[in-house]
Amino acid sequence: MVGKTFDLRKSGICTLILSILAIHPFHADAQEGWTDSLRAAVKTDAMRISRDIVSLEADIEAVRAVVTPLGEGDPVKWAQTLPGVTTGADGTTAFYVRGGNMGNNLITLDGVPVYGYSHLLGLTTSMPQSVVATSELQKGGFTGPDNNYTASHLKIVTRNPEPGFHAGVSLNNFFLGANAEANIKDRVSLMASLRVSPLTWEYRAVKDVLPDLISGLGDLDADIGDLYAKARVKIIKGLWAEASMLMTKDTYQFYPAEDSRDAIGWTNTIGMGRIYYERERSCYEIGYSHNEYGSIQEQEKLYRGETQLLSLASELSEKTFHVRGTNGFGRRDRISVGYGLKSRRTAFTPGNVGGFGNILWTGLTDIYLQGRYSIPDKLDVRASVRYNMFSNLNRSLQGVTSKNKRQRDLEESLYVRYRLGPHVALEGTFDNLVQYYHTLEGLPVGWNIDMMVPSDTLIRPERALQATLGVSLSFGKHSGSVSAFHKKMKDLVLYEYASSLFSERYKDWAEDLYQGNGLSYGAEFLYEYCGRDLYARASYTLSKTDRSGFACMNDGAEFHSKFDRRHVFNAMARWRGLSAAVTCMSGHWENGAPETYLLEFFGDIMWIPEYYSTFNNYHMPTVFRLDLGYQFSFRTGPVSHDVNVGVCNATNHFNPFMLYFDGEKESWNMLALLPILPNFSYRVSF
Amino acid sequence: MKNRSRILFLLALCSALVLCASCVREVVMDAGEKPVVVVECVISNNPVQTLHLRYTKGASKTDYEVVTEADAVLYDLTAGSEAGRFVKAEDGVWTLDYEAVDEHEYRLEVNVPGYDLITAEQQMPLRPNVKAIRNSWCSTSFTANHFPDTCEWTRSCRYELDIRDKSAPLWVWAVNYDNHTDRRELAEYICSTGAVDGFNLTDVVYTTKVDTVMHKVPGDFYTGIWLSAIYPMFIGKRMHDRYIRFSSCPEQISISGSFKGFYPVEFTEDWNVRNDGVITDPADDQGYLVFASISEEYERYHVESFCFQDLYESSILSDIYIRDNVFSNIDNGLGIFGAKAETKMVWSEKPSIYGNQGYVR
Repeated sequence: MVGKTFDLRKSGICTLILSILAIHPFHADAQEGWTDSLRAAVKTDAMRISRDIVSLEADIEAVRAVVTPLGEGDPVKWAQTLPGVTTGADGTTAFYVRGGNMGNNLITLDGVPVYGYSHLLGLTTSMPQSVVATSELQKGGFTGPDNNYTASHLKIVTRNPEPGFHAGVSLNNFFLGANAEANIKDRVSLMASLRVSPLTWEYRAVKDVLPDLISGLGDLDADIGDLYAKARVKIIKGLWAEASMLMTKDTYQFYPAEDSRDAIGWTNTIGMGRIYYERERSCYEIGYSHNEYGSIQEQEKLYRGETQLLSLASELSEKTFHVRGTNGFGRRDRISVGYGLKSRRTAFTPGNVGGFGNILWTGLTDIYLQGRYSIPDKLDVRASVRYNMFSNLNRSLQGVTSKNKRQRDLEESLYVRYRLGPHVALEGTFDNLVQYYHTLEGLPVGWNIDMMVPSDTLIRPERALQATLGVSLSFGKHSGSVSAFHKKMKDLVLYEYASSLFSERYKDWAEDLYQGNGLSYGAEFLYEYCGRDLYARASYTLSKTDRSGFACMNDGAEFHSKFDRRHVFNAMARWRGLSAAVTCMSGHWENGAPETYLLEFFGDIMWIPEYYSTFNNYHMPTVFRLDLGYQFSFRTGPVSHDVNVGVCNATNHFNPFMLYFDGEKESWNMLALLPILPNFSYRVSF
Repeated sequence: MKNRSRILFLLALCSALVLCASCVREVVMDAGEKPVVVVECVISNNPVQTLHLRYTKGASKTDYEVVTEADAVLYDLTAGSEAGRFVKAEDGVWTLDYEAVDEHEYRLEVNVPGYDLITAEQQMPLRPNVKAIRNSWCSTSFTANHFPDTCEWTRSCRYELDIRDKSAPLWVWAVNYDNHTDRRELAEYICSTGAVDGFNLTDVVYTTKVDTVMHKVPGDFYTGIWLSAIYPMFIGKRMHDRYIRFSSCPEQISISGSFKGFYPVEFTEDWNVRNDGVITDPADDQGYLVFASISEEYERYHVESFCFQDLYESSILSDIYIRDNVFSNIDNGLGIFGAKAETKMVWSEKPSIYGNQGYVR
């Protein structure tokens, strides 16, 4: 996907100009292993993320620079600082792009979806930073190879080992990690990473030392970790074979009392193999992946002398085969064509209670064709069209006879960039997207325990139609963009009881699922300054997002989307290892805060009804967070040391994300997750 | 709530993970919205129509404010004329000397400064034709006077109904006069032998105080009394909360409930209930039964109101998360513009040994 990289600190030329002038459209970067007809991204310096308005990319250095409770950033935390993106609960990995739902985002690791992407109760992501090369957020003008999403695509690409042998260990607030890699003459490379969390021990230690701090909470037994491994072999010149796997586990068992146990958790097991062949003007790839994702909710308690166990499990097992290619034509490769086929067969087991549940088999096959035409320094046009064939083998799709159960949909994407001058370019995109997997979203804290269900007779595919128009600017060390977007969403899903945990209602999830529409529009601003020692970035999003047409909500009338944050402002600056970041955004919307009024009941009794002007009518307080960090490195012989120290929410601002009713006090309360929090991470590598 | 507490536990744990010492704050849930005008007007066949205008209030305010300035007009759409203009009686209350006509359509327009024109429309139902009749077991009812402690409920009243507009729902409730508060109040419980709706059934069962079907008072010249004869057809029935709503139109029904006080019933010489039991001008301290045909929207409002009241009064905390509004048919406002045609009835036909008057406790 990403082409040749440049280092501005060496070249001294401005990012965007270079990206347009000098990038070869088909040149494969061995680190990426795959290219398509998309113009290559440009790494201009350590931090700059500009690529184009709808597609922003950063390497792992910029990702790590984001201050988080774990001491260093991760791809999702990085994406949350970009225009067009808003977060769920402050401090967590829940994120929403251009008015879409959380489940409308696709997160891939080397092209394979990672459905349970969060880690450590939503505080970070399950992909270890030590293996990540780049992170790219696409919000529009999507490229051909990936589908089945309607909001954004967060593409995380793993890196390839440097020549030689390297190893390292890392430590931060919540993780212990180790990684090792070897690259033998650039023909064979191996890489592995392992992280485990000592959370259980930390929790028990805190509970012992500071019992008042977490009094009232029972014991915890957490099992959190991830393992990544990758092997890559050069068969002949340009021909590579690669295999990788990612296993993650998050299970949390709580013991509120001696005779009760609650547990939640999720796991990912992903295996992938691919062979790709790169030539100067073409690239071909064939691959296979197997993806297992599961979540559980268990509750065990003593009832009338007998132990009662509620076990709710949801699983998704997906096997995917793909083949694709890209070819360049014409003088200076002005024309390129990408094409491919992907076929996946998926088994969903949503709402499996007590070991009983139906398996829903689905098939999704798509073929895409993508063309690109570019005139250096002037014009860049990319268009892709995809033909999807989706089938739910258990329940026929709406409007389709039982003889032929396939749902067929076309998806189209268009990206146009036209340079008006040396510093200014116009950009526009159009996307028509379809999504067949639906996430029944619950709490916005990034716990991947939300059920995923496929489209079927009753559940229509989610759709989105969006357009973007903007201007990107670049003047020396300054660059930025201004853009406006308009997005219509159709058949978004809403599960009425998604906020419930440990509920047997999940078994009958289809009965409580509603579909409706969404509308989002707004403007996005991005500014970057990239000096010799100082890097600064500011992003601002002004937007409005509504929902309507949900039969169970507001009588189908329009209401605020929960995370319809009108203003979202993020700014960060980094100077010689010192970094400061400010996040300021409108509060989200909660459902509550009724007006009340007096009314007579048959002319006798005065009673006080409640009146909700709309669904989600209560505007939560503005979120403000100041994060400070300091990063420094030093060497002791062959060993290099990287240290990150920082403070999250340095002003200890109260940023609530949820309301709940305290039955004992009979009062409403707001709950926040992230108070002032010092953090650190320490990495040793050699 | 159990699940919610689990969620809170998990979230609290999240906070504990990040050493959150104080992550909860109490909040006054006030969205800070502009108050909405609440209209309450139920036109009827009574000579005076009353319009109440109030404002909604947010949680941070203490008092409910009433509308002090408004212009309200009632239009008779069927007649194509203005029925009248409401006159302000006091802050928040406007009245109109006008008796609504059965089956006529009406439109209410209220102009409150600072708000869009508030409108609503209703059609008057037909007044129910009700006639109080004697019980066939009159003699045993008479006997029941001697056993006032055998049941906490009143003895039955029997009525013959001639519902002309069978589409309009028929509601019945009893109005007691309370000496202490000097005002009329709805009787708490009511039940009927007719086919009634069960939406407001309570767990209170119509039972006698004496735990035997044959009750005998020592020394009384009666050898005994069959309680089932005194309280026919009610024993074992579940009582309704304040109202009964007939799901189909019955012809003859008996009604009982927690009615109290003195309610004179006069009989003609041939032992028919005088004036068919209809009360046209009840005395200030007189209780009565109300048979009301009410408009469809007014009924929907009442059914929903009842259900919401039931929820609010319940102890199930999860009900606080219900976010539905009570039905309103007011455009650009809240509340209800209803229509009802009612007939006030005596509720006891029990004859008295003291003359043509009967009373119960």
